[in-house]
Amino acid sequence: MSQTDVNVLPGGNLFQNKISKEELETLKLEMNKKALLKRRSQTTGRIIANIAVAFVVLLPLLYAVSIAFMPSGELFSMDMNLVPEHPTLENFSSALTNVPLIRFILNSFLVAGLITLGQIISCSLSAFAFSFLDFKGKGVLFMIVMATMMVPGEATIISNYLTVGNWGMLDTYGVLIIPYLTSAMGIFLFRQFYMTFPMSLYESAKLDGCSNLKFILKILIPLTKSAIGAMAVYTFINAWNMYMWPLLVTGSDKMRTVQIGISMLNSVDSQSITLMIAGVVIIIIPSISIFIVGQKQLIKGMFSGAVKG
Amino acid sequence: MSEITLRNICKQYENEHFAVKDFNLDIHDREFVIFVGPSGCGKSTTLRMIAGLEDISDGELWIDGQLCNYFEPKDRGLSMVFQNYALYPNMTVYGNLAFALKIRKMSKTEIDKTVRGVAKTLEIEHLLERYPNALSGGQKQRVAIGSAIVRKPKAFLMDEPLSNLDAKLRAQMRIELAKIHKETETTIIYVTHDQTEAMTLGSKIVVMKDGLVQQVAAPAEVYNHPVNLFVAGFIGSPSMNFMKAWVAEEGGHAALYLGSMASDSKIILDGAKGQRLLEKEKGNEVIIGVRPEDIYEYEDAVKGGFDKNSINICKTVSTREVLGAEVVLYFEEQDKTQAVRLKPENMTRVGEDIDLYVDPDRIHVFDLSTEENIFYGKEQQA
Repeated sequence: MSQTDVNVLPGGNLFQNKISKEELETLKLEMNKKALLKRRSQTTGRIIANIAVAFVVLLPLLYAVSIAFMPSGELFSMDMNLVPEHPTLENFSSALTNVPLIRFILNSFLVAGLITLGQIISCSLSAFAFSFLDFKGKGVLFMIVMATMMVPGEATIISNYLTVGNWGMLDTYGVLIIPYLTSAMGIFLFRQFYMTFPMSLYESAKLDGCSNLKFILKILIPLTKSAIGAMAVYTFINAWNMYMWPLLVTGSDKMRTVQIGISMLNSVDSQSITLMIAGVVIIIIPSISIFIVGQKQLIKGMFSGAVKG
Repeated sequence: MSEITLRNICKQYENEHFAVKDFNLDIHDREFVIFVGPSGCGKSTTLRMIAGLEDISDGELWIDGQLCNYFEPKDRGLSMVFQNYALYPNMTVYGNLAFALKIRKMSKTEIDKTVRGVAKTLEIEHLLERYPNALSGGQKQRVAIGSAIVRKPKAFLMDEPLSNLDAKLRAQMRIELAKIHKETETTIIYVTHDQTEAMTLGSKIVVMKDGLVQQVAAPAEVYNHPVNLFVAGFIGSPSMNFMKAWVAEEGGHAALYLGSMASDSKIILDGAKGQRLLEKEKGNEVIIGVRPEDIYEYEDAVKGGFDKNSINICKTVSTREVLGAEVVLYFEEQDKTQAVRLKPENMTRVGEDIDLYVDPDRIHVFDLSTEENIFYGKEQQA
């Protein structure tokens, strides 16, 4: 009887067919190598695919950065100029001198910052009421708040303009900030987050003698940092990118925000694409950096509550 | 010193549904009161009404002579332990214990002294710097109890505090709770659906069903003298066996015929009990209740002297459970599974027949329509 025969016999002593320790070792190594190779090749494949897709997605942005450094003569040549041959900072300096870009950036920071702060305070407080307090008409009220999300901003923008115009608020910081101090989206986001909060924590705090405000400050806020972070990033970027409303309600250079300011670089008399792109690159730096700083919080907050764990 | 009195407490929701109806109870100082009942019976709602977490729709709640219906939870001087512990995850154990004291503006040194004292009692001193997510279930439960104790409340309210723990830890914490009750000398109101907890911990048990109080009594009283069919069936494990029987008079005594008048399984009740039964239910069908431990084999029935005047049930064993100190046999009677608890020496196997005798002194008889216990029912107590 050969050794293989012994091996297939049902109930036969498999250990009779012993492999030496070395053989086992080499077999193990070989199999490990194979598995490792497979895994590595898969990872490499994925990384390459990711880089390719990322390149396609980022191409316009990268090209914009590249144009910002190009002398305008280079851009309008017949050659395919993806990378500047003679990089220059001239576009940036003229973008900053042609229009008061620094002032615009400061305006935008002030407006976006205050809107963010205001929304966090108002949305978290109302979300607290909607999720922890019991009052008559809570469901209906929440529905009404949510319904406002269905109305596009453009539909109300004219009546809003007329209202603030009659109040004499045009061309002030107030008119840029006050209408945006709360948002249904923010209330919804916070409420979803608070819904995952165990009610007994609130009840326990109440029995401990905690007032609602103290509960929010001492327990709720520390525990919802990621939601607040997500909300802050989201709101800030939205406010930074506002265009229609600031265009409508501001008239002077003193009050203009960056998004309006940047379009001023595109004048009929002296159109310079390189100049405009340089301006664009300058103003996306703050919003991108805010995103980079807050991206972990943003993702964590957006998806928290989606799955338990 | 704390006396809590509930007078006709009701909880009615907007859809007119009563979660709790006419709840009356006097809780004396240092009592360990247990609310027990199946889920949805209103026991937690009652507790939450006492705590102030739910509005009282009707009735009066008195704590130490003060009408507390409209007091804020914090002003009632009670503390509560929740099923899911309700520890603040952003604070250390120390922070959790100190939180209520900080709110009450106690001085730092005093807080420290109190917190460390409580931590020592509960043996959680080594955990003080940890966060709740780094604690095991049992440790979390201790901390939760600690933060209830630390305020020295008038009474502790506990809402199924042990139901998130595993069986072994639950038994251990049960003993600890009894110890804490003794040491702190406070009133405890405890909600559970676990009757073992109810029987072992309580000095007074309140059995509830569908928002109504069924019986308020000491554990042994509830077990031995249940007022109605529900209490009899709810308390005890395996639960009481119920069988239908007919009442007839035989030689001046009451005789209960199992199943039908023609049955040869009968039990004779003599004395006051028999008279009472005849007086109330002669010629009627009733439900008899027998606890699994009140059913015996022939030899024990002879020893007990009730082999002659007892129901003799000869049945085929359908299931056999060996629990170590005892054997529980199950058999079918009147389309219901009935249980009998016998000595571990019993060797009857599944499929074999067994002769069983019921101790007539330990039998309960319930009216078929009102389901009241004919011997211990409300009418009898009044």
